[in-house]
Amino acid sequence: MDDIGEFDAFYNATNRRVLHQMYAMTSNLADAQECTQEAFARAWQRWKQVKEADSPEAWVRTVAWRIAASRWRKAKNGVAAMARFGRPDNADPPSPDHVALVAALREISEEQRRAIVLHHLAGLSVDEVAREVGSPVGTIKARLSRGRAALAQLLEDETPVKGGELS
Amino acid sequence: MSFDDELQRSLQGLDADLYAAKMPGPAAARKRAAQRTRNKVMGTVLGGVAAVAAGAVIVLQPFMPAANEGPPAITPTPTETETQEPTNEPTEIVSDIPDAALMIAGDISDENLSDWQETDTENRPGCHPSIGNFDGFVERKQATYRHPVGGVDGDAYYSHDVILTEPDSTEDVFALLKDFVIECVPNSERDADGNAIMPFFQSGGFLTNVGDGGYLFDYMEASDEEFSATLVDVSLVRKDTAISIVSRWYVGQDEIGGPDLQTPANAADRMCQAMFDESCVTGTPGYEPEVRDEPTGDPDPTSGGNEDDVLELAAEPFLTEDQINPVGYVDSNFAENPNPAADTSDMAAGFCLDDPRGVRADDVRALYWASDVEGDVSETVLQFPDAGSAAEWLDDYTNIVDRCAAMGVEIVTGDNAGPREINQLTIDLDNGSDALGWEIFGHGGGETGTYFLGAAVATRGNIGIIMTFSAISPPDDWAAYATEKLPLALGQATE
Repeated sequence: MDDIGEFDAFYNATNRRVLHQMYAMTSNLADAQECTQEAFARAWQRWKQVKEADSPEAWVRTVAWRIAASRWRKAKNGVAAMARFGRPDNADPPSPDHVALVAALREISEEQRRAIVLHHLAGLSVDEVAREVGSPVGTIKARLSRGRAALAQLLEDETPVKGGELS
Repeated sequence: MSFDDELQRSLQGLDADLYAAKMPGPAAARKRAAQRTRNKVMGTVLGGVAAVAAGAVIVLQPFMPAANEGPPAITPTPTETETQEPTNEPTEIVSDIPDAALMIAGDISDENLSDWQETDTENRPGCHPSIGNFDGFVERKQATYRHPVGGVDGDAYYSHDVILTEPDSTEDVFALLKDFVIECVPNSERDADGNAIMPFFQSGGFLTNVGDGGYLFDYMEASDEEFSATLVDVSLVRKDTAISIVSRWYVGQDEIGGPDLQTPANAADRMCQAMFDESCVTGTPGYEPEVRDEPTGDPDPTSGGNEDDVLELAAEPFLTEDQINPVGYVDSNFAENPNPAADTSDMAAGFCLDDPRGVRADDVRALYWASDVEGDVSETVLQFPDAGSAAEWLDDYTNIVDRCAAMGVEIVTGDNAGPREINQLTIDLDNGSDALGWEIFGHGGGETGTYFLGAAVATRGNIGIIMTFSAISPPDDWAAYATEKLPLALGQATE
C-alpha cells in the first residue's frame, strides 16, 4: 500500500474517534472538527514519521489538542471564515441528553477535561495519560480526581445526565 | 452504577452528536496539508506572508544597530570596584554568578505543559547569542529544559543563560548580543518562489517592565522536518551588571500562541534576586514591537499614477499600524497579527473575494491586524503585470450581490445562519484611482450570531489593494474608512 493508501486507511479508521474525543475536550463540535481535520493535515505532511510512531492516533490527538489550545489563546480571525461557512451544517447542538454534560465539561479546567477524556473516553490508563500529556502520574491522578468531583457537582446542579443517575 | 461508569457512558454517548457531522475525508486533509505547506513555512504569498510582512515591517530599524562608538570601555575589575564609594548602583559588586541565578523548571510559564526536565543538551538553535570572550565579559552560566511533547513536531526547549559583565559594560554587551542575533538572522523576505529564506526574522521588539531593558526576537530556522522550521524566541534582559537570555525553541509550522513574555520575566527576576537581592520585574511583562521609521521619499500618496506605467511594489508596501488605526470600531487598538488563524482562502471567500493567490498577479502580499476584541483588518497588495489586468480584476467586483450569489456564499451560510444583507458602497478616489467597496451583515442567530464584513478594492495603474474588516459588530463607517485609507495604501504600496 502506498503512502496515500496508508494515510487514507488510517484517517478512515481513526478520524471519528479522534473527533469524538476532541468534541469532549473542546465541548464544541465545530472546533473539534476544525482541530481534528487540521491535525490530520499535519499528519499527512509528515506521514513517513507519523506512521512509524508508537501510536499515530495519539500523535494526531495530541496535535489536535495543541491546536485547540493555541486557538483558545489566540481566538482571533474567526469571523470571516465563519461567514464563509456560516453555522456549520454539522454543528447541530448537542442532543438534550448531552447538553448538561457538554456544559459541565466547559466548566472544568482544560487540563482536567483532557485527562478525563483520555482516561474515561479514550480508555488510556493513568500511566498512558501521563505519558501523552507529559505530566507525572500524580498530577494526572489529581486532575482526574478534581475533574470528576467538579463534574459530579456541576451535573448535580444541572440537568442530570441520562436520567440523573449520577451520584 | 458508579459515577465513573456513568461518566464513561455519558462521554461515549456524545458520539450521537457526531452522527450529523461530516468530516471531509482524507483527500481534503491531504489537500489542506498542501495548502498549509504553501501558506506557512514554505509560504508562497498570502498565508505565511502575514508573518513575513510583519517581520518586514519591523525589521528595518532594529537591523540598523546604533553607531558603534568604539569598543566597550575596559573598566576596573569587580574586585577593584569594591573599594569605590557607594552609589545608587548595586551596593555590593557581584563577582560571580550563583547557581541560584538560573531559572528553575517552575519558572517556565506554559499554560498547557508542565514538568519540564533539565537536560544537558547542547542543541542550541542557530543564531542563539551563545557567544563569549568579548570585551566586558566576565562569566556565563546556563541551564536548559526540555519537554517531550512541547512542540507539535517534537521536543520543546527552554534555555536560560546568565552573563555577568564588567561594571559599565552591560549596555554594550547587551547591544552586542542583540546585534549578533540581528546580523545572524538577516532575512525577512522570501525568495521568488515565496519560500522563507532561513534563518528568517519574524519580529523583534522591546520587552517591557523587566530589568533595565529588554528585547525579544522571534525567528525561525531550517529544520530537518520537510515542512517545518525550528521556531525560536530569544529574549534579552539586562539588570545592573548581568544579562539574562531566555530562549524557547521547537520544530513546528507556526508558533503556538504568541511570544512567551512571562518566562523571560520569571528568569530575569530569579537572576536579580540571586545576584542583586532585589526584584527586577516592575509590572506585567509587556511587548512593544519595534517599528521602523516612516519611510522617506515615498511618492505623494495623493498623487495619481500613469496608467501606462508599470509600478513596482515597495519593499514595505503596507500601511503602518498608526495608519490603520483608528478603525472606528469599538476597539480600535489594532496590532499586527502575524498568525491569522483562519485559512486565507476561506477568509477571502467570506468577503466574496477571489483568493488573491489565484488571481493573475505577479506579486501578492498581505498583512493582518487584530484587536483584542474579535476584530480583524487586512491589507493585501497585488502587483499585476499591467494596468489592464488590474482593471479587469477590479471589474469583477462591480456587482457584489451577484458575485456573492455566484460564489455560493448565500447558500453555504446555512439555514440557521439567518438572513444576509449585502450592500455595495460608493468609494470615490481621486487621481486616477478606481475603487469599489461593500459590506456584508450577517444577522444569524445561534453559534453564527451577527457579524460584519467590510471589503474594499482599489487600483492605480497595475497595482491593486484589498482592504477588509471583520468583526462581530460594524465599525462606525466602513465606506468612509476605506475612502480615507485606500489612497494611502496605494501610495505606500509603490516605490
